[in-house]
Amino acid sequence: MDLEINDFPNEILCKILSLLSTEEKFRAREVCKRWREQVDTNVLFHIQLSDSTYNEVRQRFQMRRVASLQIASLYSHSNIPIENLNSLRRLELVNDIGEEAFKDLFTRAAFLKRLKLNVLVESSWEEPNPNFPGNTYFPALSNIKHLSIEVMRCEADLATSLGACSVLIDHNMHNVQSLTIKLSTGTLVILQGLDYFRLAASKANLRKFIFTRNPSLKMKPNSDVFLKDALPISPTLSTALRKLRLTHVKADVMKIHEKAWEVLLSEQKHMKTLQLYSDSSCSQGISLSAVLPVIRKSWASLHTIALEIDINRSQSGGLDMDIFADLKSLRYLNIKSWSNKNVEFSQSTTVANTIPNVPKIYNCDAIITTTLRKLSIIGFKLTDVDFSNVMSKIGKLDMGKMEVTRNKMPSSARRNSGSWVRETGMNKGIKVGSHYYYLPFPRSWESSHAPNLESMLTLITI
Amino acid sequence: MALVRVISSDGAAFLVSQRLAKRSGKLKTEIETFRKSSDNSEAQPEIRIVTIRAEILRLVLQWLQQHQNDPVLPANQNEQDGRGDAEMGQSQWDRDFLAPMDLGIVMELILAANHLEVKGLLDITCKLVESKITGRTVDEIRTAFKLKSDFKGNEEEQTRLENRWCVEN
Repeated sequence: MDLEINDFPNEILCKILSLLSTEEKFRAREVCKRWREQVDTNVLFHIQLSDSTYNEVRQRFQMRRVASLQIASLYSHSNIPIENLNSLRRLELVNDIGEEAFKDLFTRAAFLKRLKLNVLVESSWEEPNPNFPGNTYFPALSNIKHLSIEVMRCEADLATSLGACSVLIDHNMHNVQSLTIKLSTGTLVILQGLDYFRLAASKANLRKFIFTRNPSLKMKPNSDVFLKDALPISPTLSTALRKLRLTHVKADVMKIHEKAWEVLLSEQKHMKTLQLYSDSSCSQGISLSAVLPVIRKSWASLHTIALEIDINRSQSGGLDMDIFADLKSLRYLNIKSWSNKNVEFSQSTTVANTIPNVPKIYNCDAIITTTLRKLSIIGFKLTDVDFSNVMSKIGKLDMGKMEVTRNKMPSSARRNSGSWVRETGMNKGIKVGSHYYYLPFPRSWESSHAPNLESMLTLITI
Repeated sequence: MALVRVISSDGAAFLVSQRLAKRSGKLKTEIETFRKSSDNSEAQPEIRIVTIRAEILRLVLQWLQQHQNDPVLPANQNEQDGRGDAEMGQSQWDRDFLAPMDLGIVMELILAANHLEVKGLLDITCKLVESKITGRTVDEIRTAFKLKSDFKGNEEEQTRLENRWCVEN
């Protein structure tokens, strides 16, 4: 059978042509009649619209199917120069676009699925921009499933205010399933504005909630009040939640909201992914006791856990992995010891004992089960006994991929792994920092790609 | 482990786990239909794919096996949001997988992935064909895909002018 590209049904040809860049799409029009017809009627375009490209867009794309649209900042036209916005699925507003254009856009884009808003915080945020028709009802917006908001700082007068934007969300977007909030500003102004995001987070259908901060954002010490009262958690947070990811969680914030936190998490029956990362700018990380009751209680559905915890706050001064043993469907476990920025785990430190307060970890083998796909333990001290327990247990599983690193191997472990290497005839090392370590596992593991386990183990211990 | 027998158009049978097979939307539906119509819940489903020959079916199953632990992408055929697909990175394995194939095989694979509703495979194969179009002149595209211009009279010139008009304005 000799297949030619024009044997494809329109649907596939279109999918292929839609992947081309805009210029290439126009060139493809010249190939043959069918391609021209497809480009003119079905192929999807991704367009950036701004004042300077307005005329071009109007001429070239007026009659075309636009799938994604990015509207640049300071767009001053009163309409969107595209005839039919029914194919629009993805929209990004870099800045306020003015009332008329806003109305035009949201009245006509009836099938919008993803919306990204760059919300700019003005110093005068309390007074929403009167031109921003946030409290108008736009039925089209109720189709939006994925909402992503990046909060930035802006000096311009034309900024969409945070308050107005939140009103818009509250009035219109009832079916949001995934909400991502990313902060790229550290101003205190944001504190009150976040109340609105709590409203947003209470949407009944919300399944995925991610709250994060631009990692490059440097926080000044005196901005410690930041987010103090604003952990975006409300007791009314949707109970349909599947994924919760909070970065830069402050331990003291968690304490303030302890009750709400507990109520919230114990209501979650479908939670699959929990990712909590401590804020390294405070003096304490999240304590395990704040998270543990919930993990134990009702999260049989959990399959991914990523925690950055402050073990030194627990009495035993160590982490007993036995606590995770009851999670029957656990697939990905990532445990990182929280470290204050003042106590960095330095790879250049060659003697583990000189690093203060490295927490111990026990019973690592308890969680190595057949459901596990990936395990990552970073920043803990693992005893030799535990290390060999883990190794022997892993040896019984069929792993596709494995990486074991010890920043500093105790001499006995090094000796052991050395003999292991000799026994199996394997001599493959990996380099971490300035150290070079052997992977102490049999050769057969490397070659066996078992059908069910594509596992990976990272043990970066000290 | 529950198995399913998948049979190609030229009669070759592939025995795969149902868990793997269900990553194809089409096979999933077929298995479920079989379950409903069968009295014996232990019976092994048998599915005939009359449009796909063994060589291609083997490639699809091979791809599925490699990607069986990937998160399942929403297989919403109506959602024509092309950009999301384009952003999906290809793994090294995928590149090695596609590298030895000639265009004819890739195109058969596209039809198979479409028929079996395997979105990830459809995405990477379409991307491959797209890369054969990108960066080529109209004539080069025609040669690469063995296409003939079917424009009549001055239609081709007109189309070119339309494009130029668009670009220059």
